Amino acid sequence: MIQTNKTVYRKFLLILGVIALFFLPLAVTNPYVMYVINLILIYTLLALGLDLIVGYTGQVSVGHGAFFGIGAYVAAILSKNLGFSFWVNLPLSIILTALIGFIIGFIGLKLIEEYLVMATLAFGTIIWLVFLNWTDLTGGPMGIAGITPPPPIKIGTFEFVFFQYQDYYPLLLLFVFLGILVTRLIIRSGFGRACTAIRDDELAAQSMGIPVFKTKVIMFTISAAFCGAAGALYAHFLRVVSPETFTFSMSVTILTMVMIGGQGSIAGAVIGASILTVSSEALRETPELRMIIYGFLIVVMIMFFPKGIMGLFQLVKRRLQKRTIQTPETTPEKEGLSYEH
Amino acid sequence: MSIDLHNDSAILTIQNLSKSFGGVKAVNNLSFSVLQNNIHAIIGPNGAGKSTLFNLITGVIKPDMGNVQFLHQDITSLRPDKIAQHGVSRTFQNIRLFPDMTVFETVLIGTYQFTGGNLLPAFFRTKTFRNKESEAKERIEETLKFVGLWDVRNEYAAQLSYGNQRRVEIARALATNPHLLLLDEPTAGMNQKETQELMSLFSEVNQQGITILIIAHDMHLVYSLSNQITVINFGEKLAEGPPEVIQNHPAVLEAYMGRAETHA
Repeated sequence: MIQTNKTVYRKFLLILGVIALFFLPLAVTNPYVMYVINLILIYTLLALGLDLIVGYTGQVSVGHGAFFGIGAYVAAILSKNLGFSFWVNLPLSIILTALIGFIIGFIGLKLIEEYLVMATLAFGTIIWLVFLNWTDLTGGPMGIAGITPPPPIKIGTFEFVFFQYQDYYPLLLLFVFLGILVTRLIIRSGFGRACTAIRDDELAAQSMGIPVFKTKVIMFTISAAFCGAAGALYAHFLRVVSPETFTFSMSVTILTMVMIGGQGSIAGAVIGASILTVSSEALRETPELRMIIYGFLIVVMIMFFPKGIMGLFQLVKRRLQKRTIQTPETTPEKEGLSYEH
Repeated sequence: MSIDLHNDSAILTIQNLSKSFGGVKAVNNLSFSVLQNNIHAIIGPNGAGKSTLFNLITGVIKPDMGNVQFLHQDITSLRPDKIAQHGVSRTFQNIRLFPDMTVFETVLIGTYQFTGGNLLPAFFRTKTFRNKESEAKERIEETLKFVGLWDVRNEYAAQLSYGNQRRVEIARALATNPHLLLLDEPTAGMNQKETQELMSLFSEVNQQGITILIIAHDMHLVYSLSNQITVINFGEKLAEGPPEVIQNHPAVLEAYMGRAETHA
């Protein structure tokens, strides 16, 4: 009974917190701060997407900046050349990015670890070069400006226009919640469990009847689709896209978010995106320094905190629980022979 | 159980199977059958090709020659996951668990083919999906109680004792609902008591109609548990027969028994 009361209470708090989050613009008056918060939301979607394949499936990609770019450019081109609205561009961006993700996944995931990293690196670079050089379509180094904001949403007599940063915020927040919901549904499904099994021990997973390659490709496709959604949101939010956003450094930044926040954790993706977005803004004047710091951080995280900040939290939590719950009866069990992996 | 060599009751038939690594013939022109409902033991000195044989049967590696038939179907060229879905499940010589999963979650992986795969039903939590999911969970409860791990279901599998880790692996394999269970040295590193307990577990598994193919070094276990033994050395079949025959087989004594006392 106590347990159920507690969960009901927690759920109530959670819903309250979610509603409160939507009213954040009332408390934030500085437009720059609002802008950074919006960026955090877009990066959270990216980190969630990359985490699906890196954190939950164990396949490292350093090319997800390109999927972000494809999503953004598809929305930008459709908006600019065909006058499509955000609500049309978003699904089209997602579908096209997912399709390219499927192709890249189908080719790349046949490779093992280091080679997959190389393949995604090459893919990211090629896509960036396409953005830069296909001037007729992408505007070349100048990019595409003048992307239309999402059309106003009318609810009864109330009209919701997208004009300032705080107007975008609820929309972006909605998509982040949607992203979190989808992520949760995936990782808690049999499919999600299969992905975790593949990450932990591919041979054991396959021997239990899990089609490893197929599962990886599906997850890679979903992961790319997340980045496509983030791209479309980004294009219609900033109303301008240019190739320098979608470089290798973007891919590394997203990966760093996942690593720092904690692989295989939704909260980790949010935390990582928040920290990295703020630090990226702080280091805006010195982008070279940014890459050095991120590189260093990734190395430190892998060496000392492979599960990131959330992993650290969980470790502390587990320690505390052990101290209170563990009975002497179960203690010797923990000292069982370790096994070779 | 009587030994019936009539081919129709064979669940697994291996024909002229060969596999070389570099110049080493790990498995060399090997043929034998595993009969339905048997506990069939594979014995042989270290490096005889026993684990390679398991990897060939389960599709982890592909043979250079020969074929593997399971329930009268050629499974030689199938992927490991397809072979598992056909009803061949296994444990590994070095226990392979999922470090981040509890016992329950680990065993749940074994039910993938019944619940897994499709994302859309999971998204919309359709009725069939929920039914399958609860069915799988019921089966896992049954399996975990059967192997004696129900009480530790929420502990991390990798943190259990060695003996219990082995049980988790066996439970995971059973969750795939196999017709044939391959056990690769399941009692290696176990003490007498743990070995005894596992042996009776294997008998119970067998009584449920699951055929067992087991690699073992423990002669006592092999002779008392199995009703058919295949002895291999240097990837070739040395002898085959029920325990009474193998026990006194001159070739076997020469090649193997001298070393059996060390218990690997």
